[in-house]
Amino acid sequence: MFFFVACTSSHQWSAVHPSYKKGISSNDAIGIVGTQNAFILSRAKWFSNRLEIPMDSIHQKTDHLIISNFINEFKINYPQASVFPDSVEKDWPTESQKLDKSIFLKGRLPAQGIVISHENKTPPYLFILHEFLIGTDLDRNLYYDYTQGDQELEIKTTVHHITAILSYTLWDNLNQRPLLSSVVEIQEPFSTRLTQEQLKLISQKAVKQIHKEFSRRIIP
Amino acid sequence: MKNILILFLLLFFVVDLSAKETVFKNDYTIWKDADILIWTKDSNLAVSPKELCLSLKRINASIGEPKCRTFGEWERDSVTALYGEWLKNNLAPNLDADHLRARSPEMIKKINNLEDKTVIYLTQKDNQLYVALFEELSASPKTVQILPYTKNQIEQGDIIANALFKNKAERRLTKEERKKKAEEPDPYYKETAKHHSWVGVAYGKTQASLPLTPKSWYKNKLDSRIKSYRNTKDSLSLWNFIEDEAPLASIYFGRTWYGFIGAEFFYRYSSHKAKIDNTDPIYQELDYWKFNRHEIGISLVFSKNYHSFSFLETSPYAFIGFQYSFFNEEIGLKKGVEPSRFYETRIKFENVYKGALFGAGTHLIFFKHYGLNLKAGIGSRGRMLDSDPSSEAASEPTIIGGSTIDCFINLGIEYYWSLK
Repeated sequence: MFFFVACTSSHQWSAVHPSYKKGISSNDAIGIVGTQNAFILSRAKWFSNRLEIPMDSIHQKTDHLIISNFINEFKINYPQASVFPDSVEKDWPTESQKLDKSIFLKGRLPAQGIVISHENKTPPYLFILHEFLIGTDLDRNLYYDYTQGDQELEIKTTVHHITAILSYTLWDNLNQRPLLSSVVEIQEPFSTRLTQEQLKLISQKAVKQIHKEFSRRIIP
Repeated sequence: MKNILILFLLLFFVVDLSAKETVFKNDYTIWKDADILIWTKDSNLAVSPKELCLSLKRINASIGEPKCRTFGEWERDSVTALYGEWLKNNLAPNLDADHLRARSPEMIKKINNLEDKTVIYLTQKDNQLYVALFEELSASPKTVQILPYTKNQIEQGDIIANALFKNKAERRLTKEERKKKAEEPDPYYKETAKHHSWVGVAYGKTQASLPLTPKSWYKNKLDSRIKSYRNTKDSLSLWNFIEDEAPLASIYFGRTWYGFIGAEFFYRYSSHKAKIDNTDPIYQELDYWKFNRHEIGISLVFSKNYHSFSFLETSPYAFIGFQYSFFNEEIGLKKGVEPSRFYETRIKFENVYKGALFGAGTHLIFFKHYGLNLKAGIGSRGRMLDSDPSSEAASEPTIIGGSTIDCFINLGIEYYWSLK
């Protein structure tokens, strides 16, 4: 019985479409969508104190720092990638995708039958970033498992990790289907000092993780 | 030559069978006199509506007079055009219904408004025909099949009809019936308690002394013996005259309504020996003397159903009822002995006693039909209390067995009819 309970507590954090067999290569053109509004910083005051950035600009500055670093890292792995402005996803319907029994990923996805292009570029794939959350000692269960959504978050004074939680969808732009949907959690150990370099490192790790998931293949 | 022909025929059938593939299949309804709408985004229609209808009538006798036509409204509509094109690109083997779900709210609305019409979407891909069937109230296709493609329209109609419309057709509902059905609670909500009817036989034990009560309550009654065929210390309880402990058999049938209130008719039988004083020499003539107790009655049952496991329903209950008791005397003298005067004037019980009983128990119903029943209670029988004592009451003879109480426990096996 306990074994059973223990087993159910670990969730599956990604969903793969049956037609995503090949995995994408680094030469594939990818449109990056959703980066302008995906960033969320929790415990802003904590970060503001550590990074010595005034409170009124902490969101803006960390957003720029992390997302631009994320995009740069992404482009290193996928040189053909290009950033699309958030305006392309303005009319997309918001939907929930099921990753596991109680894990749902909510985000905007392009409509069926409509191919997305921007400035005459029509990439075969879209990388749609739904959320990029930065905080301290976070657990993705509390954000994406609806059975645990009502739990109150205890803010601890001692911080062990800086956490990044990303949710994204790899979209087949030509056939309009979600090839890969996933929630990534990055835990970066924290001891006493926080630098901007550390935050850059987190976005690097996130890209590395995403790259790993992209090249995952289904065994037929 | 003949062998080759057979082999060829065999091969043909094998190929034919293997060519058909079901991607997924969920339940859908085939309506009698169905309205079949053929929807495609291909430039040519794989099957003509007329041929499909003829095939349907040929293959499914229960389908009545189907009407088939191309679904022009959807072929011209921009919302359905987007989804249709998308389906054409995305129909593939190894998919679930959810992968092919229509996401656009307008498209979902269009499917929901189909009422009792059936839409079949056709698209041809590398010499195969993909068929998706849509029904109202479901955003994703009910079934997707990959069928062999042929240019012969008659054959193609047969293939589609065989793959999708083989099951028995149901009568189409009228507007009022559809409206009523739409307002009905879904099957999960509709789980009202069932009405149970049962018949059972039980075996158990009856005795005068209640468990956990002091012996002194019963001592006088139980120790009492009949002297000279009629004398006892007391005549209020029958346990002064007969043995109280006896096996108890019963048959019964009953029914509960709405899983809460019910009634049960029962018949119970037990046999009790007369408690003669063996020291009294008068009984030397006696071979046997006993009373067979027959009781019939009805009880009101209050119960509650618990669906404990998929195979077991538990239904604890309490009951209260009334009964008539008949004591049938069986007495015999030894062979060749003349009855004594005392024998002739021995005690007589009343013809019938009236009493009440109450108690509790539980039914365990296995696999909806087979029940076990454990029941315990207290029963009484005594004189008729429905008439006032007359003015001459004092001079009337005492009624034997004015108040006889016992408790009982029994285990029954039952058969259930679970009626909705």
